[in-house]
Amino acid sequence: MTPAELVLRLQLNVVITLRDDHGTPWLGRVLHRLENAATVWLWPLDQPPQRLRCRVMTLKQIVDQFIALVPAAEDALQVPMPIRVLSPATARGLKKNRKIVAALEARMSEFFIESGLNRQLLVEIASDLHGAASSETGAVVPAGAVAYENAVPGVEKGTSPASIERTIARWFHGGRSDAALMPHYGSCGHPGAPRFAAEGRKLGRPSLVVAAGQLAASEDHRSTTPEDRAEIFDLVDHVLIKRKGNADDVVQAWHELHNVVRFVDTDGKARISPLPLSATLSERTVRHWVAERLKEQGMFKKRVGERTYALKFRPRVHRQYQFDGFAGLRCQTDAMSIDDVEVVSRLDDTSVLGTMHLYAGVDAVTTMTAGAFMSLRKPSELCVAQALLNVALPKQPLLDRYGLTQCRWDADGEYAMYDVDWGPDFSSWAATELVGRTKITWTNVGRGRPDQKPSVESIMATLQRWPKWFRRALARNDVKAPRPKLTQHELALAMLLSILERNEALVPTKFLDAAAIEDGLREPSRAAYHEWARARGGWPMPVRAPNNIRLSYLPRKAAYIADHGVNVGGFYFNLPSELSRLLIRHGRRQRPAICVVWNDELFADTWAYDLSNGSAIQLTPLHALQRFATLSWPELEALKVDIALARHWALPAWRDARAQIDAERERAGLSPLGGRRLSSSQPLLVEESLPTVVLKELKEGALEYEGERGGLDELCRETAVGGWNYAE
Amino acid sequence: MRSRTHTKPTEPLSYTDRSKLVVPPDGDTFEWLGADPYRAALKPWSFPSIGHTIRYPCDKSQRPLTLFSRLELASAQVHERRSEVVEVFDQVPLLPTSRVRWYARRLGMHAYPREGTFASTDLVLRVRQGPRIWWEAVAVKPEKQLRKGKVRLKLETERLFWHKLHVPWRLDTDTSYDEVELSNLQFLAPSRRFEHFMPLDRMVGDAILEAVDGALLGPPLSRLCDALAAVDRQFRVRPGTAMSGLRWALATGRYSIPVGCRISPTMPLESLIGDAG
Repeated sequence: MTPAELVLRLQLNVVITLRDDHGTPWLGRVLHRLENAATVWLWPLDQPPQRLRCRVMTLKQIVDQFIALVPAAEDALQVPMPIRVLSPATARGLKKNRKIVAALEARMSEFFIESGLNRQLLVEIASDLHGAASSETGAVVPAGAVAYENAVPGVEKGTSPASIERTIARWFHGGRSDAALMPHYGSCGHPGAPRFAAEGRKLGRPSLVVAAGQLAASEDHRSTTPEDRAEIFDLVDHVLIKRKGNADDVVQAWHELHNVVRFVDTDGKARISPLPLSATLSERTVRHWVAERLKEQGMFKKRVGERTYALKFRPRVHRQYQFDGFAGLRCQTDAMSIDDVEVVSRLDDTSVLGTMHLYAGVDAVTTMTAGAFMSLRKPSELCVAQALLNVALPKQPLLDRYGLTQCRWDADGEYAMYDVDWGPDFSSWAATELVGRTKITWTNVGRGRPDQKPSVESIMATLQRWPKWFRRALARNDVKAPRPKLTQHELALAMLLSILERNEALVPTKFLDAAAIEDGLREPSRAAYHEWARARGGWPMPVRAPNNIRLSYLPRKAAYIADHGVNVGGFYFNLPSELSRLLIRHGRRQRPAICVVWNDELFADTWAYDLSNGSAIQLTPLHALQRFATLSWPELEALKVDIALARHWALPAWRDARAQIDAERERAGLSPLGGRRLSSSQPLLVEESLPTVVLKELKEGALEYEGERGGLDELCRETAVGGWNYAE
Repeated sequence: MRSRTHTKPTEPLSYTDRSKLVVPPDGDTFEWLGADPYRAALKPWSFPSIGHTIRYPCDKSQRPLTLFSRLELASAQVHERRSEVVEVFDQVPLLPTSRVRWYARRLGMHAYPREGTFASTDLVLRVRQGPRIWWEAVAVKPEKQLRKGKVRLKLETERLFWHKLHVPWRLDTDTSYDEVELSNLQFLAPSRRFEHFMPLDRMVGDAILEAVDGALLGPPLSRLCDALAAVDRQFRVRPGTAMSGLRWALATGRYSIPVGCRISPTMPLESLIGDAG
């Protein structure tokens, strides 16, 4: 359509403004209201607007009125007048065109309405809107846009001159209302419209919605007409509101009005008499419209929106503060592999040791992190046992070891109940044995329901994010690398710091126990809340004697060997003799020693590690007679961590037992037992057997890095062995 | 990690696979219940539970019980505390299944227990009073579920089964227990089992207990917690230790709990002061 044609059509067409009682300019609603009261403005463009008030007016009548007013328009008005409705699916079209219309309104007051007859300016308006004819800054469409908007990326769709002209035409044609910019009613799938299957799709079930007053094929009753609805509304106003009846009364009145007779059929069921040729509305439909009327009258409470419902009304379940019990009773425990970090050797940045696994225990009520355990080892029941042990043990030695002497982590004590998931390490028979030994109540929450232990899931998510922050502090890491490289020690330090940080976060007052609020606690930190709970309720319980707690948490084999003090912290180097001695002493099935064969391409050596220091490492032998496990370098690293960890449980017990024996011998007049005296400072491995590089590491604590050193590196240099070690 | 395959029974648990079940030597008598060692018929991993699966170390059974809801845990704790109860068995199978099926058919259920499975009773107690020893079967169900006809039929089947064996059967619901008693149990039970307090240090422990005695028997105190905190400070032990000692004393029967008295962190021991000692 050229601009000239546009002007021609606008000259001959009408401008109709249809507004309902509420001033809503939507044509769809106006059409419903037509029979009641509608204000119709007939406004030929070259005459002053005339207002028509009519009771019932169809579009045909409007057109007739207009022809009577402007006889010359008769030919042009043969063009069928579009009817448009608003539907949610087509609201996009309105949004897109509203910008154009807004600009057009501004121009209208200036060019069109005030100057009255200056219709020719529409052409200028269209070109102005497009921005091609003028370089005004207020142009809706950028000046560089061309007509074919789809060919040019970056140009808003529907802004070509043709589109603008079409929009303007539709806007005038539809009565200068927003509803005029909707897609055509006939293309919206209205009832009765022919249906077409989309490409590659079936047509589907026939719609239950039928045209007004028609019978649907599958229904016994006809659909609601506006007359029906008005009738029901009147009944509601009269019967229900004025006479204070109920919905049943309205239905009864409807039935009386339409001569519907209830009767008992021959099968004993109540039926409504079917009237020939005049199907009635179903009772359900009547009730529906009753409810609709009541909603209109505001007699029903309005349903709130989804957001408001979520904020104000939705019941909160499975939140941490709703856990039954009290602070210090339940500990939620979970395991996690820290996949975002590559754990590298201290000696060689390029050699990746594997993935660290973290176990954390969180108090269910105070959400204080009660303890954690990190290891390179894969998850196992032993890891679980060590995690529970770490939860119970005091944390201050750990902080001291990492140089965090100013920090506090007062979370020692034994919990009575643990909530865990269904990981194989938490749910196997060995875990049951652990339950029996430790005398705790062990709850496997529902399968696939991590929301039943949300506190620990929350901290796991936090801890998973934290180590990435640390890569900036280390010169060896490329900041943009997807997985930062950290040594065991650095990663452990990162975890420790993030746990401490989280323990200092504040607990909102509404999450507190009632007793805590009574005691005057207002938004305490998690640590303060935990401390309050411990002093108030005595939970978690104070740690038992170290010997007892070790015996109950460690697997039976490790505890037995440690108890008897067999070469605590020691080693076996003359392999055949020592190993055979062990096997003789403990029997074939005990398998107290593990022989580590370090296989490298260039170098192979054989060591025997002793399990008697408390670390029971579960390695499955390849066949029954094999008593040696072949370990790679990362496994060896992990092994050293385990053994160093376990030493701290076993050594005190060994010393105590030894001292006791010596005291008894002294009392009996005997000389003290001979043998090796062990101390914490004694190196773990036999010096002569180690390769020089390992020796150097053990002696100096850590190797010098090539790169720049920061404060974190200084911290990390402190100890020789990574991993966490509570009982230094 | 150790492979779990050899400990995992076939699912669903096969009735014909007798090695997975505790099979009575005589199909009709239940003398086998006292056999040692007893193994629960339902293991946690053999049960497609959608809720909690709880392993509770029962003192009187000397092994962890496997319980499938918090309500069963509460029931086990209550019955464990009864002095006449000698032993608690969990998830006891009703065998032979043909008998259960016969009862179920009489009640109109034709597919219960389902093929390849068996019915079980939540708890079976061995009760002893003087020279008499007898069994008690306990079924645990939430009150809300008793409205379901299917649940009621299953319970009736269970009741018939135990009735035939002259074993008293009882149904515990969430309204069967006193809430106060339950909260007290929850508060005290771990103390009794753990024996945390005494092994800590014999001398300090005794001294703390004496001090707690004094706090309880002395003049009325406005706040018992403050007194216990003073004891903590006096002996320079961890905060809460004296409270643990008091709880241990309560749990082991050194002090008696007044009837109906609620002792829990939310309503602590102030109400005890008048009656204690």
